[in-house]
Parts: sequence; C-alpha cells; structure tokens
Amino acid sequence: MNWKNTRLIFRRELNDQWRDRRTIFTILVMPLVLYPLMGMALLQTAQFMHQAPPRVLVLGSELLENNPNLLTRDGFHPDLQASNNGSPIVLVWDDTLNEPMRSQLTKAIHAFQIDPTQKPDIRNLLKNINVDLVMSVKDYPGNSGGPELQIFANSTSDQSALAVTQVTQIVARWKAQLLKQRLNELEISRESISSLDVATVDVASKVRRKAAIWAKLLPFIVLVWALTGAFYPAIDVCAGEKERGTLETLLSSPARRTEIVTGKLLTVASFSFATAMLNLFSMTVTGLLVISQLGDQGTMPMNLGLPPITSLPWLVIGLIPIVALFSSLALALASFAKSSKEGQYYLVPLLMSLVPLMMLSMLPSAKLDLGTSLIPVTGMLLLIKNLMLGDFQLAAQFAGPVIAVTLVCCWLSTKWAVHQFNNESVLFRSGEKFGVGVWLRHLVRDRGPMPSFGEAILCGVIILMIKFFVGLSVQLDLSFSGFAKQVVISQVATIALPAILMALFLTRGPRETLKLNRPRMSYIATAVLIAIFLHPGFIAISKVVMFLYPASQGLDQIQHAVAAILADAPSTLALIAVLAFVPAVCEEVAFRGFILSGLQTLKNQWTAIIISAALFGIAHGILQQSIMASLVGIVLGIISVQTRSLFPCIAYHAMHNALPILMGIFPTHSLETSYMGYVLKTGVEGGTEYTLLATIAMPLVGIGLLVWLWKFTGRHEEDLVYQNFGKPVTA
Amino acid sequence: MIHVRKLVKSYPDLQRGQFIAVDGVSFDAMPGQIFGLLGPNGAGKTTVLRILSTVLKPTSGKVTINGFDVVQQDEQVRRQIGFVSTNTGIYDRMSGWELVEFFGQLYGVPIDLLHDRMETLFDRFQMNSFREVPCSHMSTGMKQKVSIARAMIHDPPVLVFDEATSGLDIMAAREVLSTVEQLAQLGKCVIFSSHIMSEVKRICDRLAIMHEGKMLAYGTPDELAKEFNEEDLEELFYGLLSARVQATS
Repeated sequence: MNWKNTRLIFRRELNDQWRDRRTIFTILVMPLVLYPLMGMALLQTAQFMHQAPPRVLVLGSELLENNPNLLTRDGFHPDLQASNNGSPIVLVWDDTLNEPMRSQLTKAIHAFQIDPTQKPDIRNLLKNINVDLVMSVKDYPGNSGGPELQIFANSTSDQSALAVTQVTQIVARWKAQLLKQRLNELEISRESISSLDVATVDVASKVRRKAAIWAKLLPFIVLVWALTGAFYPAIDVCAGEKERGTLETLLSSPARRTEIVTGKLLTVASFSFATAMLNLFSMTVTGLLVISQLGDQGTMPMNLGLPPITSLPWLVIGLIPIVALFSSLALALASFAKSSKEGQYYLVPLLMSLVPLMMLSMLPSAKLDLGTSLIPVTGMLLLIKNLMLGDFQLAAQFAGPVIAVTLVCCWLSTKWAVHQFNNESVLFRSGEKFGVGVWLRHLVRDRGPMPSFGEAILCGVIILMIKFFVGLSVQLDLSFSGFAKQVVISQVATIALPAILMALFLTRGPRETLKLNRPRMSYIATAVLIAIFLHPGFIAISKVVMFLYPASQGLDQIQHAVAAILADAPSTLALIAVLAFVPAVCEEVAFRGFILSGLQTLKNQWTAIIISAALFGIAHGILQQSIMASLVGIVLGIISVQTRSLFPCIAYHAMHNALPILMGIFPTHSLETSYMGYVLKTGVEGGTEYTLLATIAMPLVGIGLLVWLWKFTGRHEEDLVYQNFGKPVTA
Repeated sequence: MIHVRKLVKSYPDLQRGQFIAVDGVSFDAMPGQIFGLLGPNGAGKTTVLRILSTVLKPTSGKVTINGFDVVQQDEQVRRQIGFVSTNTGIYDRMSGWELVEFFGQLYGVPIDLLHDRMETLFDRFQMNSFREVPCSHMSTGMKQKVSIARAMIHDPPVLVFDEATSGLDIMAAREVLSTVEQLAQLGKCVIFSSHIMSEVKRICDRLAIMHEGKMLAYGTPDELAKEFNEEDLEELFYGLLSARVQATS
C-alpha cells in the first residue's frame, strides 16, 4: 500500500468535510451548543419544578391507638418522618370529604375486599378526590393484634409510588415504636427477643460512588455519539461521492482501492473521535456548572455528582478501537448506498444492531469475565467501565481478549469496506426500478444451477425467523410421543422445507444444490469415524463453554424437563430416530445443502464454511448450544465441500447426535473388563463419560482423518460416483 | 498503443437478466490518432471506456494500453490514461487549482514540475480568472476545463474523452474539440466517444460504430465509405442502425 496516496486522500477528505456546513453543524456546533442549551433549560425548569407533596387520605383514623401517635391533626407525627425524605406528606382527613364521595370510596374499598377485580373504581376515585394514596384502617372483631392498615395506590403514577415509599417507611417506624412500647409494658427487654441486628455499611468512597454511575452512563453516551459522528461523514465520503460523480474520477486515478478506503476510513474515524470527544467535553463542562447550581438550590434529582476526572482518560483510550470499528462498519454500509438519502436509511439498522450490544454492558448483572469479554462492543464497554472504576487488576486480566475481539472485528469490517469498493455492482449500482413482480420473475428466469450468495443468506434468515415464531407459539409437549411429533414437524417445516422449496424454485439444479450425489462408501465411513473420534473433544469444549457461560436457571429447568420427557422414550431406537436421525437429515439439507451450496459461489471456500457454520450455530438459539453447533458446523462444512455429497454429512451429524444416547445406555459394569475401559469410565452422575486418554488421543485421530479428507479427497470430478442422481454440475 | 480483443462485459440486471453490455468488441488505436467511438445512447461506449480506465473489469477478452494489461497491471494502466467523462465529476468544495494539484500529487508528479504544468494548463485553457473559485460555483464549461486539466496533469500518452461535449454550449464544445485535435497533434492517442455525428466526422481519424454492445463497423471514414458505399457518415450510421434494428426485430 502506498501511504503517500492514503495521506493525500485523507487530507483531501478532511478538508472537504471541514468545508461542509452539515458536518460542521453535527460535529462541532451540536455538541458545543446543545449541552449548554440543555443545561440552561434544566436550570430554568428546576426553579419551578419543585416536587409537589404527596396527598394521603386516611380512612378510619379513629381506630388507631393514640400512643404512640401515628397521626397528628397536621399530618404524620413529625418524629416518624425522616428529615431528608423529600416533601412532607399532606394528610387529607376523611371528614373533609363530602358525604357522597366518602360513602362511594368506602363502598368501593369494601367491594374490592370482597372481589379484587373492582380496582378501577378505587383508581377513578383516587383521581376524583385528588389524592395519591388511601390508607384505610380496619378493625376486625376479635383481632387482638390491633387494626389492619390497607394502602391503596396507583403504581403507574410516580407521585403515588413516592407516597407508598414514604408512608411505608413511616408506618414501619411507628410499628417499631409500638412494639417497643408494648414490650416495655410487659417488662421484656427488646434485646432479649431480637435475634440479629442488620447494619449495612457502604464501603465505597464518595468519589467511587459517583464514578460507578458515570462509568455506566458516560461510555454509552459517548459511544452513541461516536457512531453518529462516524455515519454522517461516511455517507458523504461514499454515497455523496457517488451522487456527485467524483468517485469514478478517484477510481480512475492511480490510487488503489485499499488506499482510497484507508484514506476515507481515517477521515471518518477522525470525525467520529472528534464528535465523541467534543460531546464528552461539552457534557462535562456543562455538567460541572449545572450540577453545582442544582446542588446550591438543593434540587439535585439523585446522588449524581461529577464524574471523577481521573476516570476520563480511560474512556478516551477505550474509545479509539471502538471508533475504528464503528467507522469501518459505517463506511462499508455507506458505500452500498447510491445516494446520501439512501445512506440515511442504513443508519437505523446499524444503530439497532449496535445499541443492544452497548445496552448489554449497562445491565446490573453484566460484569467483565471471559464470556463477556468475547462479545464485541459489550466487552470493550465493560473494560472501560472497570478502568473508570479503578478495577485495574480485573481490567488487565481481560484486556487481552477484549482488544483481540475488537481488532478482529475492525479487521473484518475494514475488509468488508474494501470488498464493497471492489464490487462493481455496489459502486455502479444504478437506480433500477424495483417491483416485487419484476424481482420474482427475475428470480425464476435468471436462476442459476446453484443458489446465489444472497439466496443462501436469505434461506438462513427465513429459517431463523420461522424457528423464532414457531418457538414462541409452541408449548413443550410433556409426553414423549408429543415431543417426538413436535421435533419432527418443527425440523421438517422450519428447516428442511424452506431449503427444499428454495432449491426447487430458485435453482435449475435442485439435486446438485442439495448435494444429493451418491458418494463413495468410504467417505460415509470416514465421516462416521470422524464423528466418533472428534466427539470426546467436543464434549471437553462444551464443558469449557458451560464454565464460561453457565446455563441460566430457566435453561436448566428446560433441560430437566426435556430429560424427563426423554426418559419416557419407548426405546433407544426411538430416541436416536428423534434426536439424531431427523435433525441430521433436515439440518443437513438446509445448512450443508442449500445454504453452503449458495455460499460456495464465494471464491474462498473457508469463508463459505464459516458463514454456514455460524448460521447453523445461530439456528440453535441457545448461546451454549450455538457455540458448539458452530464448531460442529465447521467440521460438517469441510466434509460437505470435500465429498460434495450430503450423505457423509448426514452420517456424521446422526452419529454425533447419537453418541450421547449410546453412552447413556452403555453397560458401565463391563468397562473394567473390556478395552472400552480405555475410552469410557463411569460418570459422576451415572452413565459414562470419556477418559482423559480418550479426550486427548481420540480428537487427534479425528483431526488426522479430517486433514486427510481435506488434503487428499474431493473437489475432483472423478471422486464422485453419480448413480441415478443426475449429472454433476461443472464448477 | 491501445489493443482491444474480443472484449465482453456482462452483468446481472433485474429487468433483462444477464445483460451483455459489450459483446466481442475489438479495435486498435494508435498514437497521434483520434479514435472515435460512435453509437446511440446505451450502445456500450461508456462501458468500453470504463474498462479501458480499469474502473470496470472485463468479463472476457483482452485489453492492453501502452503494453500494460488492464486486469493484471491496472495501476500502471491508470498512469497511462487521462479520463474525462460525464461521470468523472469534480469536487464541489475544492477550487480548480486545488483539484488539479490533488490529482497531480496522486499521479506522483514532482511538486515543482506539477506547479509548472498547472500554470501552463491554466494559461492554455484560460482558467486563471476562476482558479480559486470553488467548483460548485463554476459553469458547466468551466467544470469541463478543470476536468480536462485534471486528466492532462500527469501528461499521459492516452486520453479518453467520453461524451466530453455533452451539456456544453457551442463555444465550450468547440474549445474541447480543438483541444482534442491539439492533443493528437502532440502525439497522444486519443479516444473520443460521442453520439454526435458532426463531432466525430470533424476530428476522428478512425472510428468504430457500436450498437447494443456490438461493433457494427470499424475503420477510417474513407474505408467505411468504401465498404458500405455511402459517403455521408450520418447516412451510413443511420443505415447501419436501421438494418440492425430490422434484423433483430
């Protein structure tokens, strides 16, 4: 790559963007003006936005004991009210209500006590008499413990919820006093009946408490701005250039596509970084002023101080790789657009895919570990959060995987951007008139012998969507026969059928697409052997995966329910048919048949194998299963590409699924006396599991067989024996 | 200088299926000559010229420019060519001077030589009065002058003009035509595509007539007149196209 050209393009693009009023407005003016304006508005509104005191209506106050007092004529007893607990409560006495209203309310409460569906009447009455909460005191005949308090509130109203919190605390204090008084009367010391006192001490320093809030909020806000700051320049330097006709001028210059993309990428990244930094700066400065003002006025909404200044450099450092990732993604997407207007439409899907990853880091349960560090964007945000909090040891522990994942994502998205710039159909996409009819005619008329890349991806997406909706609408049948029917129907309808229909209607060679070529028997035997030998390795990896991503409680429950259903299976053969054979046929037809055939139109077979494996993994729905299925998918992809037949894949898949069932029924008593003792041992929870020797040695043999398959077989016409399955398709 | 052999370019099209934009085109163009590509809109002229400038890759066939292959040695090819087309726009937010300087630097012209050439070109095309004006404020004629100066800044042996007079007024169009003629006199190999008969008749030494991706005729104006027994180029062009349309309908 000629860096001089890249530098020239970068400098030109940078100058060009500086001369664009829209960019300057988004990058410079917005952050520098927006936050001060927002701060000003907040200060203005804070002056008259003092919280109104909650209004509480008390029914049946005469039933309450007078000593110690819960109520005085002016409100709750001052001793019971916390000094810093917001605005004092305004009590509304029932005798101040007019008689019809009072009677209506009493009736409504009575009706609710008989029939709890009568809630709406009380809700409407609360609104009509302008109170946030009703505290009803009721005495039961023969109740020695005193009257019962019932609180009626509307949880959808913030004011009502606030009243509930305050009244509950007051009542709790009153009850404690009451208890103390009664114990005194009985001459029992409080200490003699109390078992354990609980005192909570917050050991976090004030600075760290503030940092904790900002460590969650700031990275998220700054990253959203980094994304926005990347996208608009990306649209201008790609789609804008196409629109103005200057892209062809640049493409006909000696600069290579990689140099052009790098120059543009650096420009987009610069603006993304600048936007994020200016927003951070403007936010911090405005925050400093506004928070100090609000603090003076005593109207701070929550315990929100300023972010500790020492935490900010970590945010800036963490921002750099994220900016690179966002910029390359934005550039690749923007290069697909043929106009600036079209480019704007692509911002929403990009935001929709990245924001959940950012939100993930803000969940209360999200913490930096090996699992989360491997999730793009989320891992980096968690790393930044820990650095901002000063947890350097934890951050250093997982900085490696986080940075590695981010760099891989950057590399992939940059490659995608370069690919887009090498793609004639993307660069010179004309404004063809699109119509569903025209498109459907085109699909049937111009169908090739094999599906296209796009059709393969479409098939994967259709399968995922159908599986998602079917999964939502179908309840797990708890009988084995019902469960078996569900598995068969769902496998055929959601996985195999879309692929078969697409192969029939979208290709001229459905048999070749689904790889229904009869292979050499040796290939099927090899596939079965590979499945057997690799299985201990997959079991070991699955244990690591379960350690990294432990199953949730919900998943555990489902697994136990399925295990219970399978225990009722009439025979092992039935189990193998349902769990091994049916999925093997249906999933292979779809993933190694239609989808992989379409993906193989890519020049790089490894890319095809990896994408098909990823789709196969995603289709399994549960993260732990998805990871394992993706790995198995890679092996199946290699077998499919090499043998060019679906049957070895089905054989592998069926054997892979059947092995756990067979291990479960293997007679453990015979292990000590047979050679199988070297392979299997009695498991901790009954059944059998692989020995250490088998876990190490068998996968090596399996990999050896796979390498043999990759190096010495397949991809040659003479390796295929076509019997009654049509003619081979020449590549 | 330019050798095109059995050039084919096809691409998928929603309406027409696999569309063949260029179908087996072959021609040669030599230094000091103006080679005209003549054809109605959609004949495939721009596609041929985009392949020559390496912006598009051919589906099949072979194209060499000054000995360099457009697929294997695309970067060297781009250094041999100056490409002016209706599709090669200029940057609105740059001045003419900045734009030409930028492309000169991309072509690796040493800075002193670059500025000398820029002064010469700006004088020659009388662009000094608007050299600092942003391109967005220029007239179509001014923009075309900047484009031509940009294409000539690295002093390429081959210049390609694709519908270069399109949208220009008569004065500006004549100026472009005379520039093209001067370039040929300087020994450059010039390819000039147009659908305007009078322009081609006036300046081209050899020409090819294209229609629906195919080359219908190829030779000097005299050779074509002899081959088709028609002295008037416009009549010849019309006759060829009508015969083709009748044959395909």
